[in-house]
Amino acid sequence: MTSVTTPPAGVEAAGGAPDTSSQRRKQRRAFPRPVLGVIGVAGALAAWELLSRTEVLPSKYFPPASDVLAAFALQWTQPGFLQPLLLTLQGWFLGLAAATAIALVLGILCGSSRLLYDFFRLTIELLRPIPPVVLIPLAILLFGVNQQLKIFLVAFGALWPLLVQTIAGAKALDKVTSEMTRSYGLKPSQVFGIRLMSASPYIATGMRISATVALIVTIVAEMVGGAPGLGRDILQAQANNNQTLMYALVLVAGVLGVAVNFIFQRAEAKVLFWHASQRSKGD
Amino acid sequence: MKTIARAGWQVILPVAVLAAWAVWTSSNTNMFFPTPAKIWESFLNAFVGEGLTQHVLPSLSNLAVGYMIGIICGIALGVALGMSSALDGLLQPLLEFGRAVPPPALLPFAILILGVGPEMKVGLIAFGVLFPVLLNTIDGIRGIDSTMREMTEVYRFPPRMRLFKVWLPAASPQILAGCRTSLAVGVLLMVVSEMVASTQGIGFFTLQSQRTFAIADMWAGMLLLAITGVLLTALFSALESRILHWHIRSAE
Repeated sequence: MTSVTTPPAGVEAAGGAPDTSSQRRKQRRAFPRPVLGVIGVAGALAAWELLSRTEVLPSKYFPPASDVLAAFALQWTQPGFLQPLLLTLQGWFLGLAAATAIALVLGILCGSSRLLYDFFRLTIELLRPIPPVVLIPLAILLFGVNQQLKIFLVAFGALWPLLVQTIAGAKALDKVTSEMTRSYGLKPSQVFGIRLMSASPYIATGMRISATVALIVTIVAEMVGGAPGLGRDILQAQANNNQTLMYALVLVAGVLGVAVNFIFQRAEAKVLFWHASQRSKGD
Repeated sequence: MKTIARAGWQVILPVAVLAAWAVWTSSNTNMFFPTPAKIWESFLNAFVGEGLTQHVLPSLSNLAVGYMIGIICGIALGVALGMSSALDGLLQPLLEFGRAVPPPALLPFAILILGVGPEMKVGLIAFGVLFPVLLNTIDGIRGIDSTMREMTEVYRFPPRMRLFKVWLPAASPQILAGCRTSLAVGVLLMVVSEMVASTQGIGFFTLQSQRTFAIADMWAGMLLLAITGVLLTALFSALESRILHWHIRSAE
């Protein structure tokens, strides 16, 4: 079940998927779930096509599904589409990477030292609720309208969820593990590594959330800031009254979102194969 | 003494940054970073008085209305879908896709359908707010213990009581987590919609100030948006604690 349970006030996180306890009710379903899903999608598309062609929904605002899908397919051969798409992906990736580097280091350090945690806590709580979009005007002045703007904003936006999760993960360090590192006389760098791995379930959740946030901020930076990319293209398509293209590009954005989510969920499963939360999924 | 020292240590970083800023900008004439005093002056000028009704109130009311509509629709649909496994199965891929679309990508669509007035903003915010709440409500309802369900049948609860006294309270931790995410989405969409297609609102004011190089005003706008974000989040946390006071969770 993919649900968005973000931890409140920076503490709870991750863990297992809740078991829906209606196992006793083995209803005989008319259709298995995947089939049902396909029917749902097909039905929605058919309805869209019908409503648009018959002008129940004015085709000016709702171009037929077939047109949109055709435009969608066409885009992948157009360099004018692929170039901005690449910029979007690049901005997303680099911003996320920067945020990850900072969040992991700072997170583990803050989570393991009461002193550091107290020092940074207020700053984190003050900066965290600021939507990155708020910084766009300043960032435009500082960076101009380019990839650096995008990367800066994405890094800022993606930093906080991951940082909060990493701190929670580091704080949840098992006492036995902590004492073990001391009794083995491990070097600080080794201790850091152990804390990092121990916090990995929390970090995995954080990464998934941050990756999604990063995509949103990338699109925002392109739409509001005007940096070249998918977001800007969507806005331009609408401004040029090319509704079919606009819908096709929004579809692309949706596909990106699904892909990001999918990739991170699979990665989470692979990296955390040892964790209790993954064991139940194997049943 | 120890608690005072600890409190002092916690506050030291933001205060030091603010002090450093004040010192640096007073002797430096970098045009992009005005002194805190100037920012404050702009803040009062812009947002206290006529600016309040021109920018602040419309922004916040759009957010409030959009948020409420989104939550109510999200919970209502979520309960319906949570209760009906068939309906949920049909719509699940569409909902997952809807959730995966980055909400700002829907702004041009909203402009297309609803124009550039307050309706567009409210509509966009409501739509963006809808999805996290909807999906979390579905999860929350589906996760309700079957024993609880059976109990309501055994005791023959009337539907209204079942909904309001059992389902919703049981699913409320999940629902509220969804509402929390939605709040962030709502604020984001409020600002984005104002920056891209608007002639009023805090977001509009801020971006416009940047374009006309009214830098102190720009900072004032950014400050107000940041404060809004912080206050709303704090308000939400407080409400959440009250509503979920019965719920066992790990404490800070």
